[in-house]
Parts: sequence; C-alpha cells; structure tokens
Amino acid sequence: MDLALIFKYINIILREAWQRKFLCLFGFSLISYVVLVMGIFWPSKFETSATIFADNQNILKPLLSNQAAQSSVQNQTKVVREMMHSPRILKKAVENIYGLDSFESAEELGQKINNLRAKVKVKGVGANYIKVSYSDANPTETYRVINGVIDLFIKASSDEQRSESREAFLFIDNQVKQYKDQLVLAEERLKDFKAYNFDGRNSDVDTSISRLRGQIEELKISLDEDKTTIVAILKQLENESEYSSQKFKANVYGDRLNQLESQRNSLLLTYTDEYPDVVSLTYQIEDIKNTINEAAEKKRAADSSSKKTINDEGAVLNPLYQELRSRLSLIRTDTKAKEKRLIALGKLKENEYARRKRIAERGAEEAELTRDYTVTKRIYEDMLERKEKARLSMTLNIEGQGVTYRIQEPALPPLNPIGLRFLHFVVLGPFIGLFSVIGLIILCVILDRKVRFPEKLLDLNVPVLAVIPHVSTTFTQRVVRTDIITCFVLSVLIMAAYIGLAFASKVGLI
Amino acid sequence: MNGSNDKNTNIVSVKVSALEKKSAVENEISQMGEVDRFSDLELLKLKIVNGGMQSAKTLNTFRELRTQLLKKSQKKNFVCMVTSICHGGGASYIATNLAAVFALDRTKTSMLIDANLYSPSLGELIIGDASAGITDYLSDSSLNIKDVVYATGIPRLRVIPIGENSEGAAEYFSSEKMRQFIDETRSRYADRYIFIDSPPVTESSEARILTEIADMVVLVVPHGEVTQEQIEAAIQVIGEDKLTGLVYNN
Repeated sequence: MDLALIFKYINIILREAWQRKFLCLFGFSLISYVVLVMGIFWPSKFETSATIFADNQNILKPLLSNQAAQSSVQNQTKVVREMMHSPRILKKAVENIYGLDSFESAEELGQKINNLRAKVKVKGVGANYIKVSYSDANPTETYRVINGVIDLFIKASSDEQRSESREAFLFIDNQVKQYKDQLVLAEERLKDFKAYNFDGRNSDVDTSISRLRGQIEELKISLDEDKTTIVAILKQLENESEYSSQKFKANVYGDRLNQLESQRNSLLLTYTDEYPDVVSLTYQIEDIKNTINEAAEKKRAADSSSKKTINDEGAVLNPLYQELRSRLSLIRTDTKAKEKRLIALGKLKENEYARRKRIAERGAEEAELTRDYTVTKRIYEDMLERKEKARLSMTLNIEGQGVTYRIQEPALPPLNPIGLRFLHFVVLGPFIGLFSVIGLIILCVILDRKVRFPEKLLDLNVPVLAVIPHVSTTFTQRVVRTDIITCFVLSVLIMAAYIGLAFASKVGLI
Repeated sequence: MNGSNDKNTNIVSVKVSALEKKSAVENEISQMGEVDRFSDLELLKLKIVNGGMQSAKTLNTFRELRTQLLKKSQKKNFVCMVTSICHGGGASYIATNLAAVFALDRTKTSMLIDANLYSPSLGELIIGDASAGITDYLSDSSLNIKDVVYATGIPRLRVIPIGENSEGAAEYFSSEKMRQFIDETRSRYADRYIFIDSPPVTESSEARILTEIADMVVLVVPHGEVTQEQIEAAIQVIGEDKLTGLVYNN
C-alpha cells in the first residue's frame, strides 16, 4: 500500500468521522467511561517475592570430593515447588496464618489450600536461586503468607534432610553388620576347608603321576630287555655243553694243520718236495691229520653216548657255560625284583589317580567357598565405604553443611499494587475510546461496500466524465466552524466530567 | 455530503432570496424588465461556479465536463438530463453548475428545467416571484412557454421551475406536450443547451420517462452513498445509448 493510498484512506476516515461527529463523540465518551468504571472496580493486586538459595556449594565439598553423598541439586526449583505445593506445608501454613478454627468446613480449608497453591509461584532464577512469589488483594496478608510459607518450607526441608540422612546411615550400618557376619562365616568355612585338605594341589598330583608313569615305562622296557636277554642266554646255553668237548682239540689241530700247510706251500714255492724241510712238514701234516681224525672219531663216539660223565676222559667244565648260567641267574633275580617294583609303582599310580579325583572334587568346593568369601568381602568393603560416606553426610547435615535452603533475599511488604492500576485505566480510557472509534470507522469503511473512491467507477465500462471536488462555501465553513466549537466544548465537558469522576473515585467519594 | 450542504445552502438561500426578493421588488419598481445579476458572494453561497471564483479547480472541472459533453454532442445543442442514484446525490448541484458553466460562454445560453419533484431547488436561482412552472405549463393549456421561463441572477441562464402542479407529473412528462415543449425550446435557439434536473433514476418513474426525452444522460454518483451494484442498476435503467457518462460527486 503506497503512501498516496494511505493518505486517501486517512482522508476518507476523517471525512466519515466528521460526518458522524456526534455519534463518534458519543462512542468515544461511552468507551472512555466504561474503561474508567472498569478501573474503579478493578481489584488491586499486591505481590511480594523472596529469593531462596539452594546452598549445595558448601566449603566442605571440595575437601570431601566424592566421599560424602550429596543430595542431587539438578532440579532444585522442581524440588522446592513440589515441597511448597505439598498439602502438608500448605495446610500448616494456612493453619498458622488464618488460625485453626477460622474455617468452618473441610471444603473451605481445602479451597483455601488450593487457592494458596495457585497463588504461590516458584520460579528458578539462576543456578541455585529460586524465586518464590505470592500475590493477593491485601498487602499485609500477602506479606504474612509468603513469610509463613517460606519459613515452613525451610524448616521442613532441613528436618527432612536430617532425618533422611540419619535413616540412610542407620540402614547402611545395619547392612554393614549383616555383611560382616556373613564374611566371618565365609572365612571360617574356608579356613576349615583348608585345614582338612591334605591332598595338595592338582599340579603336585600331576607331577607325581607323570613321574610314576615315566618310571613304569622305564621299568617295563627294562623288563622286556631282561626277558630278551634270558631267552638269548637260554638259547646260548642250549648250544653250549656244560663241559668243553673234543671239538676243541680238533679245532686246535686244525689250526696247526693250516699253519703247517701254509708253511709247506710257501716252501714249495722255492723248493721241491724233496727238500728236507718240505718232507718234514709233510710228515708233520700227516701226523696232525691223523690226530684230527682220531679226535673226530672220539667226538662221534661221545655224541652217540649221550650222557657224559664228568669224570669222562678229556671232559672238563665249560667256562662259557658256567658264565652264561651265572648271568642267567642274575638276570632272573633282577627281573623278579623289577616285576615287584612295577606292581608297586602301579599301585602308587592308582593312589595318585584317586588323589587327583579327590582334589578335583574338593576344588569345586573350595572355589565355591572362595567365591563366597570374595563376594562377601567386596560387598562388605563397599558397604563399609558407604557407611563412612553416610556418616559424613549425616554429620554434615546435622552440622548444617549439606544442601540447605536459606533466604537470600527476604520478602518485603508490598507497597504498590502490581498490574493495571486505577491510574492506568484513567489514562488509557480516552485512548481506548479514541482508537476504538477510529477502529470502528476503519472497519465500517472496509466492510461497507459503498463507493468511496472514484477509481472504482472505472470498472463499470462507462466513461467517468468528471470528479467534482468537494466545495465548501463560506456558509458551510461557518457551519463547520460552529460544529468544531461545539465538538470541542462537548469534548472538554466530557473530559472534565471524566477527570472529575476519576478524582472522586480516587479520593473515595464514590 | 453535498446533499446536506445543499440543504444548508437551501436554508441560506431562503434567507438570501428573501433579501433578494426585497431588493428585486425595489428594482422592479425602478427598473422594470431588467434582471439583477448575482454577486460573486451570492454565487458562492449558492455554490454556483462563476468566472471570478477563487477556487479554479471546481470551475475547471465543470469546464472540462462542458467540453466533454460538447464533444459527445458534436457541438450541437442538446437536452441533457442530470440524475442521481439516490436522493440528495447532488444532481441539482451538478445540473445547475453545468447550466451555469455553459452560460459562461457568451455564445451560448442554457436552460435549466427543474423536474425534481421530490426536492425542487431551482427556485432560488430565480430573482423575483416564480409562480408557474413546468407542471403548470403541461397541465394548463392557457399558459405559454414564456410564462414559465424565468431569468436568473446568472446571465444567459434561464430556469423553468417545477411549478405548483406536481401531482401526476409522470403523466405530464410522458405527454406529447412535453415532447413538443422540449423540441420547441431546443429548436428556438441553436445555441441553447437544456439541462433537466431529474429525480434519482432508480427511485422514480419520472426520471425514466425523462430519459426518453433527453438526448443524453449524466449520472451523478455521490461519494459514499451508493454501492457498485446500485450504480450498475442505474446504468441498466438509463441504457447505455443514452448514458453519456458518470460524474463522481465528492
């Protein structure tokens, strides 16, 4: 909307207003007086407020770090509101302020409490600052109510906190005692268990078993060896006769014969058969051959007659045989001993196995006992720590060092009413009257579909020949002047009456 | 607005005309046959444009209107009916001033016929006693045209008042005599322009009858009095062939 159009509208509005000047004046005065009358009957409202400080940043906190359990301060405003609006505090406040017997029925008391709840406003105004405000028609009552409610709240909150922390301490203390008993019991059990457990550890048994196994294996190998040796010796003994035979002799002669023959052969390389040494050797050879044959005869004869007598001619004790017999005997004795040992070791192994089983069985029991003990111990220690924290918190609260509420800024008796006051109505009345009338005219101009702008005629497809300007004659000017004076006088009278009425109301004449 | 002003003007005019009558009687005695002219002040009081007026805006507007009407009639003389959409719409004011602005031209004369039965107002222009008017002429065969034409305080402007016999005016206006009267009046002088101050076209049957007689019709739209639909209805009643145009009256 451009400026020209705005001016055009202003012009139209002024013209309409002038046309209905007396109606407008009447409307203006009616609305102004209505506002004034409203102001006369408008109830005054007094408000007072106090600021509560939720003190959780006490001097001990940094010193204690996390040791003392602090009350949560995350939403102090909510806590304060809940507490202040609790029927307990409000009821007490109402009783304190108005007296116990001032209410005839319980409904009346309930209504008063609800009324108080609606009027007591709690608002967070900073990290730990909470503003409590109360508004009422009576300034004295406003002051009394806010002080009463805040005093009750502070007292109740500190009592509550003290009793709370004391209860917490007692509870934890009791728990600590219970856990201590449990811990002692668990300890006893574990001790008993350990006192009656001789089997040692699992690893000991394992070592022992493996050692035994090794020994058994070795023993078994050794026995096998011995058995093989026995068989070999027996076989050897079978081949060896108890006594040394003619074969021995034959063997001796055979060697001599071979020796002589090689000697003769070497001589024959150089000499003929007639050489004396060769002849000699030939004889010797012949001789030995004969001897060998004799020995062979004798042996055959001996073999055929199975039994040989010790005292047999040429029979002597065979040393090898003797040796073998003695060795066999030794090995047999040794084997016997080893077998005995093997049995013993087997028994030991069985024992170890049994021991291991026992250890495994008792291990589960021990683990259970240990677990019991460890868990109980941990809880007990934790509880002990908590108990100390609770004790500190309790002490802090008793000493007044916990989260406390204190009045940062006390409530003042309200001197001036808040909100719209009579003076506001007196001042606003004429303005509201004026703007309402202007607004109504604007509304009329907008809603009324009568043609007020010649431009509108252009839509009709009929030529607009002329727009005749408004003509004011001297007479009309005089009439206008008279009207202006009349309007002015009327306005002055209306306003004088208005101010008079306002003044009369203010000084209490009305 | 202009309606109320017109009323105010009427009141003043009565007083003025009383004075005028007094002086007219005196003049009549001294100068029979001569007609006094309105002074500038009197014209201003009557809200009639004149060459010597200070507010040139209004005068120029009417001059412009005159030019437009002449252009439409192709410089021939015409019978122009001025009507409004509602009572007090300012048709009389526009008709009077149109007649006055035509009469400003020394080569032209204008005649104003008061056909506004419901609020006749042209009597104030007449200096002296105006006994008979158009209705009397139409109903009484003994009357001559000359008997009902009156000189005014404005040079070259003649007025025919409504007269005393306004009952059954619709019938008179639709009579042959009326047609003859108009024709005669128009044809007597080639430079005579006739203006009929008519009642609102949508509210009276007379206006519709007069539309038939007139060569052209000027429809006055008063400020803030009528809706667009009312204007459209009035245009319909007049008919587009007769309607020359609209005049917006502030």
